[in-house]
Amino acid sequence: MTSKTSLFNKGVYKSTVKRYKWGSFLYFIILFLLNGMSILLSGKERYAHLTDAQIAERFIQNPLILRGDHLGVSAIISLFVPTVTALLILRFVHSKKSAVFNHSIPTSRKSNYFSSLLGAFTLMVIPVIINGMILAIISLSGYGDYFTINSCLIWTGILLYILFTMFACAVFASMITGNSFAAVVLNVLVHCFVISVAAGLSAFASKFLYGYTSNNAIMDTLAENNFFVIGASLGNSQSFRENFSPITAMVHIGVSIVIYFVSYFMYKKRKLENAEEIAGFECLNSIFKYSVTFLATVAAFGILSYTLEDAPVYFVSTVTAVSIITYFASEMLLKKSFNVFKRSYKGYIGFAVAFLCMTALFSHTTFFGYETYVPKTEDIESASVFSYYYSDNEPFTTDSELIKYVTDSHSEFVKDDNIPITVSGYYETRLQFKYKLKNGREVHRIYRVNTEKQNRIMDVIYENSDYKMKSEPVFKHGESAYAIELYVNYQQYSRNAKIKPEEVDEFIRVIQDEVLSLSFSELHNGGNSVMNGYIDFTTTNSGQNHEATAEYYDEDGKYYKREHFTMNANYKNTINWLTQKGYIEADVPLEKIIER
Amino acid sequence: MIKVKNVTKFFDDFKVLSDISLAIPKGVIYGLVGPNGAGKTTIINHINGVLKPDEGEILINGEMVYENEKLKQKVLNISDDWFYFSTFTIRQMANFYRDIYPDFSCERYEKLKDIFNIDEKKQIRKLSKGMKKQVAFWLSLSAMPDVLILDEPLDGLDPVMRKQVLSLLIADVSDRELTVLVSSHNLRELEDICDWVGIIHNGHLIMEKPLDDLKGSVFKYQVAFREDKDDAIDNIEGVLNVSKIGSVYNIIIRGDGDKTDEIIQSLSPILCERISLTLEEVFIYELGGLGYDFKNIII
Repeated sequence: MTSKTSLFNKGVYKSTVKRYKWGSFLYFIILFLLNGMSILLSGKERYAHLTDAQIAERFIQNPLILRGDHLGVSAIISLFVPTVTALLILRFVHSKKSAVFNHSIPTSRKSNYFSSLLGAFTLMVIPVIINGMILAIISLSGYGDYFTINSCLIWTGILLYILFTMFACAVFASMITGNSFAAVVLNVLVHCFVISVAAGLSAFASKFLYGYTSNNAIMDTLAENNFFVIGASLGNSQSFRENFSPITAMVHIGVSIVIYFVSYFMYKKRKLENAEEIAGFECLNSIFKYSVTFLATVAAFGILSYTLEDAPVYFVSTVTAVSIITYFASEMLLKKSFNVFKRSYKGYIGFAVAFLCMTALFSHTTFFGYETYVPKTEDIESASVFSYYYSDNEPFTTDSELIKYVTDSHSEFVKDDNIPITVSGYYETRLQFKYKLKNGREVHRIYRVNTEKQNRIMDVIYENSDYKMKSEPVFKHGESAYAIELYVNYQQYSRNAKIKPEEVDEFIRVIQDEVLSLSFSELHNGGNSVMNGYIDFTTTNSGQNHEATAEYYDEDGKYYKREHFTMNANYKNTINWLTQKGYIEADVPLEKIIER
Repeated sequence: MIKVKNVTKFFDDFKVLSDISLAIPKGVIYGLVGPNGAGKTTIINHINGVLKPDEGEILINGEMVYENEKLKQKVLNISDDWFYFSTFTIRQMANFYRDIYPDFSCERYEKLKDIFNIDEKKQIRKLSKGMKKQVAFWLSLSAMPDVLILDEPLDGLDPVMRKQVLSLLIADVSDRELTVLVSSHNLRELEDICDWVGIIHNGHLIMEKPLDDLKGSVFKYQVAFREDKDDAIDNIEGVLNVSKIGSVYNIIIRGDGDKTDEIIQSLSPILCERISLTLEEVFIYELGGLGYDFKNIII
């Protein structure tokens, strides 16, 4: 029977649910075993020792606190359930036989599409809702101290969000492809295609664009708005869940709804005779072929770029071979024939010419001023220059003199005769320049340098103690350091030492004074490291995005974090202090350690 | 009832159907014949509402069939490789048909159960090919369609079941004015049941006539002459095929029976016999005239 609106076809809906109810049951069982069953088997006695405060903290970490995998594994599984569901239910566009049958029965594409999707949602959603209800019943049956009804709602909501958004991508992939294999591949690519192309172009740019850095907000934004990444993070990351706002979720759900309608539009337009082909639309064949060829070529380019200057013939011939093989393999896949060379060699020539033009554009121009650009000091709000290898931090300064120094140093790099055609070859280190402009933009460049040039630039900027304190790890969290561990490695001598708690503050003062007295060269290029250390500090969980990595909590709800630092032979005062305090044993002479 | 009007269809760059038009009257059994790759299944998929023509239109009772849910409730298709849901039993498949075809008759379904004699609780995928075909007929006839489209319908059925199915079809045609479109290579069987025949070749409809008219327009003459009449015979209009065994000519001529008699008699044969052709022979000779013919090749 069909309804007046023809959106819903009872026969299609019922047959969809009937045919795949086994899958829905399996999903239900898995969720039940992971959640309700494991809670009941764990028993509440196991966690009777937790205080109220600890329980309260764990609610945030994991809505179902008794086991860490109540949400994580369920979320991971729920990322893949929509893909499998779409493959099974939307087979009527991927199989010729099924396509003929499903479109000869009295349904329209509209009712076929929406009824099938409704059937799919029924199959996916019911197991989650029932499990949520089971958890709620468990909560009411004496587990209310450990997780509440609200926790169950959070658990249910997260899984439903994941199913809804991931299914949108799976449906889109099914509608745009012609067979199930291509649908699976595209479903993966949908989540990473844009990032892959961006990464490919980024890798290419890093070889030809002087100063280019791939550490940019675009890549971060692409990753942060990727449904797969979000789904996995919601299930496994407490901090991610804390920062994932209802508004973000609503936006993603809205985007998913748009994707569903776009998919419907594609289904309406697609020709059923393309079932069992790679692409559901002929015009996409070219996109598939050239995208695959481009990505493979850029990947080969990136992997082999180290040979660019040393063995150019090898480099060019290998990259060319990869692109040829990928192009013609794609064509064979599309045409389902080995005999494709005669008909499609012109397409490859066109691709090769376009790729060479792109290479020429990147390598022989400043790329619209990118390579020579240095912001004007009056436009800069704050600036930073730091070593790629020696800084985990980005110490921005607003001091106008320092900003001027940073831009002057930067300008040295971009003088015309300093700009190479290709960015390759061996350099000892890299220097990064970063600016926050007054108009809100950020500019970031990275250059390969030798150590001598790096030291010359950084020594001057390190004369500013404020800048130094922002850069060096021993300053960052020293105020709340509560434990120091040291590791000394010298030939057969290996020693771990923990600074006594009552001496931690003193050690911090000694090492900070030492660092303030040393130049950048002395701090980072004064010979090999003789000692590594970890500072454990505490900080309150005041909305900063960090993970708790160990189960150390005190009653005020503080978390601990660990910073790493190294010391070379120039840290004489610190080493002397350690020796006097007995942390370095007398039977291993200090000179031996320093000599290394 | 069914009108295919100037339909053209391309698959990629290949023209599968070329400005084809045919008309199937209501309450007839229409046989669609043609060589392999002629476009029969493509036309059928257009009439089913599966494919949309690139040019032209397909009408059933004056309405376009493509994306017409209401119209498709009256049209049923049994393809050569009939589709079913792999986990369904016959009963479940019947329930599905009942849900989507509003005219599905449970009473008829029960009656036909006795005829086909297959356990409805069995899963369809476990049945033999012939039994699956029986199930297809069972369910399709129970749905009480106005139009039934059959692609190689009797393939896989044993002789008894073939007769049974054919008699059911003929009964529905005469009782309910069911319109049947049959595509088959088994021309001998088609000849027994078809009222109309359409022959297609390379995406073109080369002939569409009532069967009697078709068979009444192509004749086989066995003729003997005192002397060779090769040239004279070659010049006869409408000759589709000539073969000679000894002094006896077998001449296949398309034309009006009386006129062709006159033409042959004008050549003064010493022996002349006119034989009606079977549908299979008509098919072979008509297409032979278009270059699609049997080749005597020794490998």
